[in-house]
Amino acid sequence: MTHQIKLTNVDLDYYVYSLRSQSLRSAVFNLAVGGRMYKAAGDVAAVRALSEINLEINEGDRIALVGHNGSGKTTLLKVIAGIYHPTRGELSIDGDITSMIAIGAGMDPEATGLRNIHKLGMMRRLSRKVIDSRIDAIAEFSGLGDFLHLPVRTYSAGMQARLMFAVATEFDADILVLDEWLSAGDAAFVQKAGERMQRMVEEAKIVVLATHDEDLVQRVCNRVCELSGGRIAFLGSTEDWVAYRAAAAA
Amino acid sequence: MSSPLMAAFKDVGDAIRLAPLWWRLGLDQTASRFQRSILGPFWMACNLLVVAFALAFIVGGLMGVNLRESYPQVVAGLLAWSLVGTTIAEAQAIFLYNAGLMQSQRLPLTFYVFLHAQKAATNFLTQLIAFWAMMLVLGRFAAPHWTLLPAVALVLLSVCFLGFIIAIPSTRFRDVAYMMSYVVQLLFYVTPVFWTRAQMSPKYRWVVDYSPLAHQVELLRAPLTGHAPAAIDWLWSLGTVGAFALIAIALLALFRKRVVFWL
Repeated sequence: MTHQIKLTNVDLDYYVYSLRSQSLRSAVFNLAVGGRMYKAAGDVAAVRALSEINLEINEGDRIALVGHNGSGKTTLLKVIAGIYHPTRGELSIDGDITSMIAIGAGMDPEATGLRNIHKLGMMRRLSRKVIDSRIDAIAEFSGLGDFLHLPVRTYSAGMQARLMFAVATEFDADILVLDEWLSAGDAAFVQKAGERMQRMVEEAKIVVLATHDEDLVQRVCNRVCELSGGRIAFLGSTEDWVAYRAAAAA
Repeated sequence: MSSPLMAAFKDVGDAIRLAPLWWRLGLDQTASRFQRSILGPFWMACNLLVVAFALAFIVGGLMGVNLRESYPQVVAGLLAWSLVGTTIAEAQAIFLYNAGLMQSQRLPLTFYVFLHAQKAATNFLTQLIAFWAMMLVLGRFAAPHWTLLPAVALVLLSVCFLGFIIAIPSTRFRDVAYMMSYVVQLLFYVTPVFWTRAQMSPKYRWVVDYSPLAHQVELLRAPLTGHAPAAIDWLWSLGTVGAFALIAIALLALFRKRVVFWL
């Protein structure tokens, strides 16, 4: 089976409830960030977070989603991960998705690192046996050592990122969806993570990664999709994107 | 699967297929609630023990009821209420409690409702063991009637459907969420848990006769104290579960895609 993600004319409206639409609307004029806001009925503001997204991601793609804060990266990730349903347009996905959107999501801060590995594995519908057989590999890749016996609430963001990434990539997934938390790891870890993603793609998998880290994009990704105001501003290979950025800066 | 109604049924079907996952996750969430405590999940059983113990004094002392006769009735009623009533109060948090998970992983909406029912069932089972242990110690143990099994199954179905009916509006309108705990308190007092229908003045008996919750409590209490529930309790319970099912499916069809934006 070939893996593919295809978005056709996807729009996504956020409905923000119980806010004064009025004051929100006036605030938007001062806002340097964000999607387009328009008025919906009553006390509900609608935010057009994504509009007319056409995107085809094929086997072997490591695609980076870039753009400034509020440009719609995480929203697009959540649409791809099936968490948000498009308001309009079509989304088709072939393949089993593993999404790691928020740092610490699905982890229990009171439980130890080891128990959280089980918990994350459980959420991926893996049997205890399968998790146990991979736990050494996860421990080694995360580089957390004895910290795995401590509760996760004692971890730094970087340590949590290491643990989550190790779990996310140790078990087979057709499509891996990662938000920008990856850059919470230090340089050595980002290097290691990049190598591992490379390997995943060699096994004909898809990686979708939202990030601000241009270095990471160049090291890890072969395609780039730049979002601006909820629209695709650039879509192409990483080399073309670097040239596009250079031209934009000039 | 373009029609919303078909999508709602598909959502339920997907959640049924995920049974191993919500089963494990429910046990895990129950266990983690009692992390770092020594008694662990047995704290849930303590709830029943303490209330039963306090009632023994108050009902016996204040009202002079011959407690030896009514005590098992009252405690069985409390046990039944923990599944019929308390779950209503907990249902408001079905989606709010799992907001983190809902925003990071694709799972059917029904999954969270089943998760809620699983936790309710675990809680009920723990308290049931405490109930039997207590009755054995007091020498009032009555062998449960076999209808306990279908009765619990039917009430659990009701817990699921009511879960949708309460959780969906509670997520959208947070006032509903706060209101629910007071509504449940009110419902507790109008349900014959530590009083009986016979004690109520005939003028107000309709409060019991037309209350779906009173019939559900009776449906569980009768087999717990060793006899079969009345046919009228079965009829009422089946009827209300059917009605709840229709409302729940309608809500799911209408708002399935929206709930995640309300978190």
